Amino acid sequence: MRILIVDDEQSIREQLEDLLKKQKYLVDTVSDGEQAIRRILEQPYDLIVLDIMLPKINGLEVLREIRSEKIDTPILMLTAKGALNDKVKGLDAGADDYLPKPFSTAEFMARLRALLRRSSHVGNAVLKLKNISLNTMTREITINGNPTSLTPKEFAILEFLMYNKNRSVSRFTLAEHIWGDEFDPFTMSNYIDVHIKNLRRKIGDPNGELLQTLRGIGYILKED
Amino acid sequence: MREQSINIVDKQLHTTALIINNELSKYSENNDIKLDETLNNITDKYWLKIYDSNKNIIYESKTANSINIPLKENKNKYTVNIKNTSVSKLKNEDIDEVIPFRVLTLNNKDKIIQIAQSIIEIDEEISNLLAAIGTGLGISSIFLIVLSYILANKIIQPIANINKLTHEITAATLNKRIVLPKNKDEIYELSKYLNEMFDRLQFAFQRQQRLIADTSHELKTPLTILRIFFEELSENKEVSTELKEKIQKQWKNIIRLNKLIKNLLELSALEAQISSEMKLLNLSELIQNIIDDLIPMIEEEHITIEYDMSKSIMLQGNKEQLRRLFINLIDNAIKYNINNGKIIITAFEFKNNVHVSIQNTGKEIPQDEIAKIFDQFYRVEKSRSTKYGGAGLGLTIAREIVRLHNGRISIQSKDGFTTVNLELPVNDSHKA
Repeated sequence: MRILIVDDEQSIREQLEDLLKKQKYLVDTVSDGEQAIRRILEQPYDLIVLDIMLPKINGLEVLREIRSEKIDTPILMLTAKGALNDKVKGLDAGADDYLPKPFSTAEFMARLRALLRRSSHVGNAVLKLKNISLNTMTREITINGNPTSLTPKEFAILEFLMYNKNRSVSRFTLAEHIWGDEFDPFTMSNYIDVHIKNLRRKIGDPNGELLQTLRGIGYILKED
Repeated sequence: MREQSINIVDKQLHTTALIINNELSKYSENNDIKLDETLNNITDKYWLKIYDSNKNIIYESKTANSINIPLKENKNKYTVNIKNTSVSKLKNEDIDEVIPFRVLTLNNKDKIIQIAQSIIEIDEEISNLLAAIGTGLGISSIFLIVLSYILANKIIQPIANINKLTHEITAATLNKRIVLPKNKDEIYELSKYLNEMFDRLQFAFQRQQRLIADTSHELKTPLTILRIFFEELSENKEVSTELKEKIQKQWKNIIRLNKLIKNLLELSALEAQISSEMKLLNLSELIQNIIDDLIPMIEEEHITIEYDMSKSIMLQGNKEQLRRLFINLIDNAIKYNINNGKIIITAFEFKNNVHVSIQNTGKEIPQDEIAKIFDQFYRVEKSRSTKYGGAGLGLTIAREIVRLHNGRISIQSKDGFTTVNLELPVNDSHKA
């Protein structure tokens, strides 16, 4: 799977490239809008990570340009602007998702994987991990084939951890993901444990062998 | 005034007496002249008696017949009050009362001339004059008061306008300006210079806001880089668990920075707004949803929360902003509570206003600190904020949202309870 990263900040390009390469993705990077359009027109991608603030041609214009060329590659927009207005503009211009900076790698990976699954290139809405099967579209979950009911927050935690399987996820990142930035994620991270405890019970993992606690760090969902 | 008039009368009497005296001396020289005729001509207007040296009357005018005015030896000018009904002849009036007469006596060798004139007219004239002056003064002073009031208002009105506007101008309404008067007078100059000052203020204020917003934006990218770097270290197998824990602890600082930037951006965006987009919304539902989201936190701290949801309250408001407002307030009510504490939320509608009070048990806020509590970065308890990582902007943001909703917010702290009182208009009557 090939992913294009468009960001004018060298460090971000390198970090995201490293991150994705470790997950066995093929990655190309460019630093401005002009190069981005040229690359996208000559090379098909499975996903494009596009920063809004770009030199020469900005992200929104790149987006409009490639959509007018009938290229429907899923696009994850990145922006330093947090205002709702930018989000609306981005989505209107044809972005598939929108991630405000600063974001966590876990959040980035979850959004990226969700986009890849939703797009025609992969097209599988069901995430599987050992005996757990989670449908991201119907929001249903089965354990050993038996339907189980989870609260929306428990579902969101499990889905997020499944997108980030085998990677440690901090309490703060989880809190940020499930409560959004309306609540103070720093405060809310103190209350994640309650949800984790209930979730473990419901997925038949009361001792935390599958959903492990990393003391002082966070949680990890281990497949192996 | 009366004395002056009497002086004039005295002079007239004196002159007349001298004329009579003159006539008398002619008469004594020449007996052919008919004294009566001559004197009668003069004394049409006057009361007159002429005595000889033995005080025998040698002449008296018609009126002297009926009116008896005594002769005073030691005085040659005096006033007497005569009670007589037949004065009407002299006065051509029906008078039954006391009439004052001014008397003058002139001693001349062998004769005494006693001449008098009624001065009742003078008294009447004076009283009439006084009445006229009084009425005139009264009317003209009322007129002057009204006129000066109107004039003063006309002069003060532009100043009052300036006063009102300068009072109204706040950080959020710095775009308002004084309307320049037509006349290029001092008020015009004052208005012009004040407007120029507002221009400079607005420019400085906008530049400061832009600086905060721009800086915050610029900080986001390096913060993202730091965050990803830290997270990747946590994934690195070469890094020991011990070091990973240390890294995790330093996360707190990145998170604080992150939150501070978000709040600063939010605050500067709110401050730059003059009004917000309002829609009819269910406030009870909005508050209930926030409480539901905060339940794990409330339970963990063993706080009981009382909230009466029986009646739904609707109002015109900006949903996102009101959500942020109540999250901030309820979040504070939890954070600054005591163990096994209480939160009581009441909401009711009264006279087109929604009144919400959020009460929590907790350490009282000192009276002198309450006023400062809405200030940026102000914190009553340092220790709490370190525990929860608050940025000290929550209440400042709350106040801005209340302002945009044309409402009021106040805090009370007594008897072990801290109460936030909110007043929000049901209908958005804001004129931007």
